[in-house]
This record gives sequence, C-alpha cells and structure tokens, in this order.
Amino acid sequence: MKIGSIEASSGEKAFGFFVTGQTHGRFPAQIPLHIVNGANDGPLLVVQAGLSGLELEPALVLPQVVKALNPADLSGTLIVVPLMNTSGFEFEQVNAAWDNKDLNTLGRGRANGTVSEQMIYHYYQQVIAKADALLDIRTGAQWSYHHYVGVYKTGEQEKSRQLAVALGLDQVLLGQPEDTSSAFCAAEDGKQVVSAWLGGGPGLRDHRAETLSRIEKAVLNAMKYLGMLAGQPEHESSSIAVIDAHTVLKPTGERGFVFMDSDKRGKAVAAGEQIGIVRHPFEGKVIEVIKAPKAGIVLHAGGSWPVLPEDTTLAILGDLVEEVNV
Amino acid sequence: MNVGNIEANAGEYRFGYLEVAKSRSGISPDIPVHLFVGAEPGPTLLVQGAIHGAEVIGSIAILNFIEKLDPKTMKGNVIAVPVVNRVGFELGERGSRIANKDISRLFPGNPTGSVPDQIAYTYFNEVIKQADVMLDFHAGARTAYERYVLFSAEKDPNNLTELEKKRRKLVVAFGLDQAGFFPAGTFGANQAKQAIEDAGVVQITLEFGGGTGWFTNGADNVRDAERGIWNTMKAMRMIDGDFEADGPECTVYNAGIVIWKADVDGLFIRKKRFGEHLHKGDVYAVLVDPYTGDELALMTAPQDGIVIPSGQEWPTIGATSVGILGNIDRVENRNDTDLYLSFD
Repeated sequence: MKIGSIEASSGEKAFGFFVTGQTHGRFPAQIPLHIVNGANDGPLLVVQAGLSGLELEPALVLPQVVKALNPADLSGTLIVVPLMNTSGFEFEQVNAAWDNKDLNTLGRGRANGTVSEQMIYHYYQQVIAKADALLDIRTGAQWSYHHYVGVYKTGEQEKSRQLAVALGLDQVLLGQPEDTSSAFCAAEDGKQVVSAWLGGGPGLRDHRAETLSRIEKAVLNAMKYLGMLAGQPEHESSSIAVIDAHTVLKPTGERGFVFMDSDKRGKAVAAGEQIGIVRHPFEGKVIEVIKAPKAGIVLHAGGSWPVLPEDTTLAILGDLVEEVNV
Repeated sequence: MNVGNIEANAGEYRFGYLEVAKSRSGISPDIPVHLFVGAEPGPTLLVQGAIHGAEVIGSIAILNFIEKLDPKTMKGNVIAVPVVNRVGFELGERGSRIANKDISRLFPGNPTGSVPDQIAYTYFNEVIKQADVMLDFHAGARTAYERYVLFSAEKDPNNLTELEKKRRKLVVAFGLDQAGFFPAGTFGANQAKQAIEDAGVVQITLEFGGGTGWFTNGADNVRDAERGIWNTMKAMRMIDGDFEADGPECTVYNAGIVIWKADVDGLFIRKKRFGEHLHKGDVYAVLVDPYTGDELALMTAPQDGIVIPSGQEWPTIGATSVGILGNIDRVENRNDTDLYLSFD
C-alpha cells in the first residue's frame, strides 16, 4: 500500500506526510498519515480527523491506537489521518491558513484549485476513492460538545447505518445534514461513511478521558465490525437509539449569550418546549427563547459555550425510529 | 451619582453606555454601565467582567446579579460593567485588536495616547476612581480552567497598609475556598494594578471558570461568582445577610512557582490537577507529537509545590505559563475572621 511516498507492505506499519503541493511561501501542503497494512486481505478503512484546525481530541488518541495495533493481527488496511489541517492547527483556526478554506467544504477537491482544494483532490483520489469505509471523526472544537454518530441519507445508507450502530455510541442519527464535505461525497460514491461526533472544548476538562475512550472504541469497533480485527464491538449500553433527524437548530434570531439546556440532551421534548435562551450581553434581559419547532428526541450534540460563532449548530432533534438491542 | 453621562439619584437604577474614544474606522466601543444608587449613602462597589474579552463567566454572573439588585434596599452605590472590552468580546479575544493592546494593563490610561490608552483613561477616571472596592472577573477563556481569588502581593506582610488589611478581609469574604498571590518579581504584578491601588481602591481579581469546564460546571461557577458579589456587598455593609461560601476555610497560596511551556511545541496534555503536591522534577504535563503521538517534552515542577486551581486544559498553548504551583501561606477561617470592611 503506497500513498505518496508513504509505503507499508503487507504486515507493516508506516507513517509519513502525504505531500500534495506547496504554498506560495514554499511551505508544504501535506497530510500526516498512518498506514497499517494487515497481514491478511480485507477491507480498507480510512479514519480521518482534524479537518478543522480546532478539532484536536482525536489527535490525542488516534496515534496511540495505531501504535497499539499489530499488523499481523489485521485483515485489510487501516489508514489514519489524526489531524489533517496542519496549518489550521498551527495557527489555531478552523480553516486552513494557506488559503482560508474550510477543508470540510471542499468535496472531492479540484486538481487546479487553491492549495487546499488541490490537497483534498489528491487525498480523495489516492485515499478515499480506494476505501471501503470512512470513519470521519468530528468534535465541537472550542464551542460545542457531542457524542453521537451521524449517517448521511445518500449512497449505501443501510450499510452505513449498520456501521454506525457498531461504533458503540448510544445515539445514531440518520439524516446527518447534507454538506459539501469529502465525507458526504464518499457516501454519494457508495462508501460506508459514518461521522462520529465526539467531544469538544467545553467538556475537555471533565470529559477528556471518556471522549478519548469513545474515539478509541469507535475505531476498534469499526475494525471489528468490518472483519479487520477479531472480536465483537463493545457498546456503551445495551440499547442504541436510532434517530431520524428532522430539525437542526442554528442561530436565526438574536445574538448575545446563548444558553442551551444541556439537561434536555438525550430526552424527548414537545413542540414549542423551551430548549434554550439568548440574553442581551450587556443588559441581561432574555431577548429570545429558543424553542423546539417540533417534538422529538434531543441528540447529545450542540452548542455549549455561551458565546458561539455564527452558524454553530445549537441542537439537533429527530424521531426515534428504532432501538437496537446489542 | 453619575458615571460619564449616566446619572442616577438615591434609590434609582440607570443603564447606559459610557462614551469612549472612537477607533479610526469609527467603531465606538462605548462601555455598558449599570448604575445603582442606594436609598442610603455608603461605599461604592465596582464589579466588572470581560476586560479580557473572551473571559465571560463573570459577565454572566453580573447580569444575574443586577436582575435581583434593588437600589431601594441597599446602601451605597454599585457600578456594574458586564463587558469592559467590547471589541475583544466581539472577536472572542483577550485584548482589543484596536492597536493590539490589553486595556487591563493600561491604567491609569493616557488622554492623548492610542485609542485603548484613551479608553483606559476614561474608564479609570469615570469608573474605577469612584469605587471603594473593585471586583475584576477573569476566567480561563475557552482554553483553561480556574477558580481562585487573586490579589497583589503585600509589600510588608508584617506591617499591612489599611488598604491591604481591607483586601485581606475581602479575599476571605468573597467566599471561595482558594486564594493566591504572586510574590513580587514573579508573575502578574503590573503598573495598572498599582495605579488602582494608588487611587485607594481595594481590588481583587477573580479567576473563575473557563470554557473547558463549561459543559459540566459552567452554571455552578456562574452561581458562585454571583454569590461572591453579594458577599462583597455584605462585607461592605451595603446589604444585610449571612455570608455564603465554599466552606469555612480559605486557603491562601503563595503562588509564585510558574511552570512555563516547553521549548518545543506539540499537543499539550496536563497530567496533574488542582491540589496535587509536586516535588521538584515531578511531571506536570507532557507535549506529544500531534501526528505520531511520540513524547516530545516533559514539563516539570521547578520546585516543590501544590497545583493551585489554575491551568491550561486545551491541547494547544502559546508561549505562556501552563500551570502554577504554590505553597500554603495561611489558612483563614471565616468563623474566626472579621469580614467587614469599614469605609468611614
């Protein structure tokens, strides 16, 4: 298996930087990438994270997961990108610093586009296009806190749903909103694609250990489910709620201090029920009550820190369509 | 009483914006001021938040506090400023991007200096100098977590000034179980704090909460920050009532042992938490390669000390301190301490 100059033969591991171009200041545009090439044939699973330069928890644990794997025990190939957006990470921002592009919006990339578009193009062609399954790990950066798995309603939905259930989290969201990410394109192209939303800065101090454990388990469970590793997936609880999304709440009205009701996560809410408020940041009065537009289950997802960037997801609601006993 | 163009009479409440200097593009970061003038005369309390624009826990506590405060049932005056640094608040940043200055370091300000210097001058003269006591709320912004009262080192602990005696009481009265000071020559001292002290204002800094703990205990920290404001009013005899606190004791740390970032950079992982005792050389945190997970550096205790409740949690850090150790200077028992400040 060879990606750029990174090469791992059967039964080997390799790490390196997949160089896709250079910036005008002659910095390399590159993706840090691990290959674990199993001793036996099997599927190709890609695990990617850190497309936002502020989604960092996966990088704390994914390299350790790779270190712990023995290629001799593995069927198929695992590719791990622990932190794709190296320039965003360097300069502590969501977008790539080289061209201010959000790597989660570049689809299959462009061969003759900006530095980031070129990078995603080569990554898509050489990595994702060869994959059978993609585990896209997202976090809430510094503003939100999550733990659920999302599945797009496109491509091989049922296969992706089964993989999502296997990851071991309590909630699976069907109907993750369509976007222009590489992950969505991969789903359109028939890959098994799941987005594991795990962690975020507002919970980092108190939930670091469980977030990192969830990330590790998600990778290992995916590998077990796909037959790449021996054993059965381990689940957080005996029942997994499969929720069909119908509402993604984003700031639409007043801006100020936003307080979402974290006690309502994981619970059923009625149409019109208050799930948050917005307060004037200087006068203090409540200037908007955020209500559930429709009855549903609230996902373990959404804005937490009271000062949120534009377009932050405040909450996701959906209907419980199945409880899977595992 | 008036603060700039905002004026209230006895028993009244007014809200307005203190006019300050405009930036070159015409931005007017006028400062929101809530002014409460009590039915009876008394001392003046200033509570301010977000002079570092991303540190908003105190801001929320101040908004909760002013909702309940009734000028008709209090003595003295309260000036409440939920957000001092509006530009930093807007952009989620510590300082003000106008001239890239930190207003909190500029007091007493300069009427002919840069825009932030002018803002500091106006705020110092119109707001700070009117106060007898100043509560300055800070926090760990989105990347750290803190919970203690910080105050300036005393010049001679065996011969306290009147202001220092009042400040000792205030530190305990506020209600947290942890407090600390940085000895002269170590960390945190600055000209601005000295200017405030020279103006006769008893000032303490509240390092309170931070984004990395928000999901679990944000509401608790907001509640306890507000509790501290009420306690301060009681200590100043502006209202009656019993003090509420974390517990009977307040441990005061001589907190001059700073652990600085390592020479290399990577992902920061804190290994020690508040209250743990480190010996010189013990590992406080590690830096790992963000792509391979390999250990790059260890950050160790330069001396023996206890981790005070302050420190970085987010995995990326700048050229900054990542933790502070201290040793116990004294333990104050609220049941044995006179918590009341006199302003006669």
